[in-house]
Amino acid sequence: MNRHVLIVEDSRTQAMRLQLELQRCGLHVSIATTGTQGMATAQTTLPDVIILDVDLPELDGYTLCRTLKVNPTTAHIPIVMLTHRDEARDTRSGLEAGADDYIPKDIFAEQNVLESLRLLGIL
Amino acid sequence: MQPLSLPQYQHLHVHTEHDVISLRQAVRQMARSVGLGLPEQARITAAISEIARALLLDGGTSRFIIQVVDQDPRPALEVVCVSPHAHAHEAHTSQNLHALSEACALVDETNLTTLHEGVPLILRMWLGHGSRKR
Amino acid sequence: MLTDAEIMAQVFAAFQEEQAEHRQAAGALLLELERNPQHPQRQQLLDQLFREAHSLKGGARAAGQMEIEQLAHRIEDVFSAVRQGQVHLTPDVCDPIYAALDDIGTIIGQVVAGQPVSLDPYEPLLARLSAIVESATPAGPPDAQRSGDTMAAADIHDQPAGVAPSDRPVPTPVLPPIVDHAPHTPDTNEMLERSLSLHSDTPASDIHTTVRLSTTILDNLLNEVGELMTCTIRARQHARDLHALTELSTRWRQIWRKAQPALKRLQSRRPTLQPTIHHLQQRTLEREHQAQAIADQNTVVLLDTLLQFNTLMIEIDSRLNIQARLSSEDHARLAAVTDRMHDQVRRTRMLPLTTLLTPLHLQLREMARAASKDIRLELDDGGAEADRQVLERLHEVLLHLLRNAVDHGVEPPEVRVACGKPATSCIKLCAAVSGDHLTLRLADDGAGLDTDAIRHRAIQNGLLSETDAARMSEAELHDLIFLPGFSTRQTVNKLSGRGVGLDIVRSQIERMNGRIALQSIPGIGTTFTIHVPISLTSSHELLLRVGAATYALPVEAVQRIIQVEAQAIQVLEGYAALIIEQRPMTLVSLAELLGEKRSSSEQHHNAGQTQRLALILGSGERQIACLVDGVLGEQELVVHRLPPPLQQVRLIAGATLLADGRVVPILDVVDIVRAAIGTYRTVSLTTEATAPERPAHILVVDDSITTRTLEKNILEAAGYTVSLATDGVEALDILRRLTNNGGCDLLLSDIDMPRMNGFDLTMHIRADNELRHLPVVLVTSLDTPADRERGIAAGADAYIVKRLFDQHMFLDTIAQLI
Repeated sequence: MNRHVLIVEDSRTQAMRLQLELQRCGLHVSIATTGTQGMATAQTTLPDVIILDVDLPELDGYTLCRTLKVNPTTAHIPIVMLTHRDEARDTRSGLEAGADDYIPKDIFAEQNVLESLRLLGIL
Repeated sequence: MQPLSLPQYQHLHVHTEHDVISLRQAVRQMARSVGLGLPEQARITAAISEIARALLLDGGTSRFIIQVVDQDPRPALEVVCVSPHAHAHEAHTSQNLHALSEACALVDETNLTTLHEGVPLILRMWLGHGSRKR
Repeated sequence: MLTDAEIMAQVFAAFQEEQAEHRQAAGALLLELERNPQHPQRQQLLDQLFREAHSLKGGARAAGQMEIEQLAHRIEDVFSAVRQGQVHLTPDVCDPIYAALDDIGTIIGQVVAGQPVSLDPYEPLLARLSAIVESATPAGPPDAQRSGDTMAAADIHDQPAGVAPSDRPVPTPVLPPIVDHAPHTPDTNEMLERSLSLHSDTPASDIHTTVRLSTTILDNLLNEVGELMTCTIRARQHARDLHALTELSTRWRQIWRKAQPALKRLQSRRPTLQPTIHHLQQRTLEREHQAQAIADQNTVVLLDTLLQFNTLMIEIDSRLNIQARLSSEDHARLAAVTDRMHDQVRRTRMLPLTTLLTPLHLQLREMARAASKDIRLELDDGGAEADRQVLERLHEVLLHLLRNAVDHGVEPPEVRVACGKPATSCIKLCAAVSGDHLTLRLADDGAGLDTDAIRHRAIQNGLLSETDAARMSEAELHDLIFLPGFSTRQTVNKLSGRGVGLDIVRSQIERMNGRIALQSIPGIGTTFTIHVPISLTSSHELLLRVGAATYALPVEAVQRIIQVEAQAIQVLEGYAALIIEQRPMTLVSLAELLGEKRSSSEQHHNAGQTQRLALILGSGERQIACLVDGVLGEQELVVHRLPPPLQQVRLIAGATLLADGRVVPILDVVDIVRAAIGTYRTVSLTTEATAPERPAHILVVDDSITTRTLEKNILEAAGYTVSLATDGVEALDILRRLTNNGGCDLLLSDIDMPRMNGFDLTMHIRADNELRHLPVVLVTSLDTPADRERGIAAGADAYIVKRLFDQHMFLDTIAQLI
């Protein structure tokens, strides 16, 4: 059975780019465009991994990550944080919030996501 | 995608914002190839990225050497920051000191506090960390 | 499995959409904040503004558009500085941002067109944006909170320059357990709930109530519905034909009934079979009887056959009736469903008028600034909606009218104040929908039209005689400004160049089967009123027989249908004309215009006729009478645009399908009127202006062979002769040669060319004694106000941007200048 990836990202373009790259690798991908949607979808569909954009408009990504990690149903799901904030303290905050990886949004972002998913055993 | 067979030693110059991104990616890939776990990859990458950008903002260019060292007590991925104007020394007085501290706090080992003129800034991440989930 | 190229193509398509939204939103927000610096929700708006730039940057990166990413990054930096109170939104700061937003749009256009993109033209802009950020003063006022940014706000202090950092403790090299820097949120779940409840207006069920759809799908749907409508018409015809068949059997019944008495008689006379008597004398009797018997047998057979036939007919009749009824029912159902579907599909193509009107704020701002006038725009969209195609076309029209109002209608602030008017002028744009028509009213409170100047100009240009001008009413004089070539030539204006361009406006509107009228009161202002159908997809078409062919014409374009007596046709200045209500009107034969040959029987028929049918087309001063061979009726038909490669066919605007499946071309009324009038002037009884004997000659200059060929083809198809040049130097050579050989009537030039660019070429032409009056049109991909100004300053008459290239407008502009 194909592994399922949930992308929580409010930019359609960025979401689509990731989605297509991941689908090409044989993954099943769903997209949530808000933190609320992301939370709900994660709880109901229990994806194999969540790719979380930290810069969502109405909800602090770090908080969402922490919530997912604290909630017993979703705590086991690896979370890869994707963000424009690439300063050291942001990375730390992300990792402390429970993220399994923290990837800045630069031109290598998609490539790095794929590599991380490989290391996580999803790909 | 097969991991690239990376050289065990890389030497990169940073003059522009673009170079910072390339450096960051090089560190990431190196960290990946030597088997560091995801969080450790993220840490050392962010640390180096922060330092390089801080030095760039300070108005200077810098050089970085990424290598694996067989250090006592354990081997480590090491990143050395070499800059022609001994910026590392000036780090104590630079406005970016805070950023440098934050960066160094992410890694396992650094010589930030014992820097003096002529000594490059070194960051290390120990190998054999954590588990890689398979 | 998708290739990299395919992935990037899809991602780019998504970005193309997304970037437009972000740019639009950013522009609107910026405008609001610029106009209202004390806005009560200033900080939220600034945050939103930052987000728009941020999303633009992120999307550009994901789509591999690095140039756009750079521009967006700089814009984002500026907004970040503004958000922190380090920079204020003065016009000096906003102008480059608007420019950068525009430039992103330009770049997208280039990428879509497959052109190479470079940031070089934008370097100065990028530098300017960087400079704004670099010269920023450090954060002052406390309202410059970095909201939504990071959580560790408490820990970060923006270090003002000069603070000695030597006191700061240096952390130990070996890392202690990770310290939590985050400001303490007492309970993360509670915080999550709080933020969720603040922003969860959309319950989960609302997530999937809207979808995004490509407009190609909608266009295809509309085409399919059009075909369905044609099928419906055929089904109706079928039902009617079946019904007609049942009438045949009714006739049979009548025939049968009438034959009944005769049949009965025949039946009763059926001979009883007599026994044969063997008598010699009776042999002849027998033979007679036999003959009689045979005859009777035949009659019996015939009678039987008829009876059987009648039975069959009854059967056929009954079944036919059933079929006719079923067919009728089917048609009714099909028609109902098709109508509903057509309605729904039309509605999918409807967009609210606000999408058309809101961007006008920004464009007006630019125009007003360039003209140094103070203008406010008030919009009332009346909740109206229209087909997206209609909105697209109206956009150009409204821009033209706005430009016109800014240039000519609105007075400079000093003049206004001197007249007792407020310094800020107000332009009102109102819309309303009634039935399936949209009415737009654009009113300015400016100086109004100068009737005397119009009269004077008209006489000067030979459009009217003194007597004509004297007898014309004010309204009729005002209408003259829609004429091509009617322009205020004296003032070469920064924005409009040498023409007022209202002819183009009227042509566009008439092409949409609409009308435009104006009202003006000197000193008070001018109001333009536009009526257009809200949908271009179907219309009432008049079917015409022209020669042996059938054509369609929108009913709205036909003013009247008249009978023309052969004797009434006069010849004026070499043109056939009719006198209608004491005014001369050009008369043409549609068949000749369209090149339709008549069969010899038709010609004979026509020769014998003293009366022919003619349609009056056009409006105002540009009306013509068109002879046709027959009017076949009126129908509501679906209008199909011509598919590529047929997009520009002379005199034809589109096509439609008739019930019998025939494809019928729809005529372009504007083109027909133009072709009929020939030299783009009104027919007048008194003035001289002779028609040029030869077709106008145009010199096309462009260093790209593709562009040259494309433009040449378009112009030649429109009836011009064309010469080509690759750059300014070659162009001047050719022009000098041509002046000795009949001359050149117009120069069409690119700007970016080797050796001599378009600006310099224009200046050379204006400086040359012989070439001074040559109309010059610049066609280019550069589209900044600065370039346009430069073009006009160099002396160009018009400036066409490749990105917005529309063949009709292209040809209209040229026609106006020649």
